[in-house]
Amino acid sequence: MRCYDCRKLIVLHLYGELEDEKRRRLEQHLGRCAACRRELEAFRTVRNRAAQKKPAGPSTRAIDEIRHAARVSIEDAGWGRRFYGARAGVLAVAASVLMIAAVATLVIRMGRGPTGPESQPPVILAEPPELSPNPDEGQIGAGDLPRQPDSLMQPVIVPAGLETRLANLEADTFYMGRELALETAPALDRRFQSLEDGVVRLGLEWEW
Amino acid sequence: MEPSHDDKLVAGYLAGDLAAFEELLARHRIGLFSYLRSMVGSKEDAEDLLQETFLRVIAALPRYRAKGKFRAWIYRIARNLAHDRARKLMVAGAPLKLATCNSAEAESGNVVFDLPDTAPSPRDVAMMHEKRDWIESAIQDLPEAQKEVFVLREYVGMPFKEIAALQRRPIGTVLARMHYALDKLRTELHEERESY
Repeated sequence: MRCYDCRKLIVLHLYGELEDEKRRRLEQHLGRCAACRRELEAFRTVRNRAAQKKPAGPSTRAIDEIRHAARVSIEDAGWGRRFYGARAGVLAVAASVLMIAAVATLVIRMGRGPTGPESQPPVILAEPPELSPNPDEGQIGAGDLPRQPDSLMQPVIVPAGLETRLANLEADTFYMGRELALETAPALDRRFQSLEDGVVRLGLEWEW
Repeated sequence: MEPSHDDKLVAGYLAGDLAAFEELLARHRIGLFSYLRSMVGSKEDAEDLLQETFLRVIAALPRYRAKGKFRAWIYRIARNLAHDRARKLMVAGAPLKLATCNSAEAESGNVVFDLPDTAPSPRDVAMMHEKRDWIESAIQDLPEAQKEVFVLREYVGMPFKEIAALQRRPIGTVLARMHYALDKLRTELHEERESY
């Protein structure tokens, strides 16, 4: 093993992440190379110094607020379970009736054609301006999208090709515009995988 | 795949066990807080982001798919929030001030990862030269990407592969960043020893 190879592995070795075979070869090299041995020792010293300063934790107030949110969430869910558990029979009948009514309404409306605000046509997302080759600079400013959806849940059509460019953006590259601003490329990427025909729904909530 | 301990705790919490959430919180709060503090500098901002992270986690847990990657998931949420905050500051036209040395915090000995003030007072300068403060300012002076790798590996204990996934970079890049970070800290340490 040469010093060049050793230096590539020394960080993994320092943190105990090196596979057995490579570690054995590295240790052989370290046995006969004083320069690499010195580097490893220097890095160990840095680690020891870093370990002396353990990071402080957040304040009790911050943690209490998180606890409170968790408790409220669990109580809400528990209330739901109790409520539904006690009335499961009644609710099953009610749900069946509602489902039949919904299906009937849908059938009638399909016969009449689309009406109302929920049947808005999807927005077709046009090409954004050319992105910077450097992903860290690849932000798109407000107003760059030619048209914003009228509501947060209105479908948006992403044309083929643009989809790939969106997906190639960095995680911290955002589309900024009106209040509809919090979209990350990986989130879009996931939705492309889960929805067909390039139709995505832009919203303020992240999806995972 | 065998569910991780985190995944078991998530399942417990979703089944109504508050103690499971307490354990999740205990397992991740210090690491997450250190990470966020290294990203944003101030203790208050890091606490706000920590709360926001957990609020998002609580809201999204019913949709979480257990794959043994809870830590990666929660750190990605935290990272996105920290980047959101930085971007909002930039959009609002505010200067992106990462951190300054807060005298009150320094006095209490609670300074973690604080940058030295751009115009430090003599007292701050003296404090920065104290041995106990050396590591914080040295880490905070690292370039952002190197600092993130160093803090995640050293203080969070995240393996390099997981860091590479979080930063969306090849593992070679992450290892090189860590090597540069260690090298810079070694030089700083050497200079610090020389000054005593």
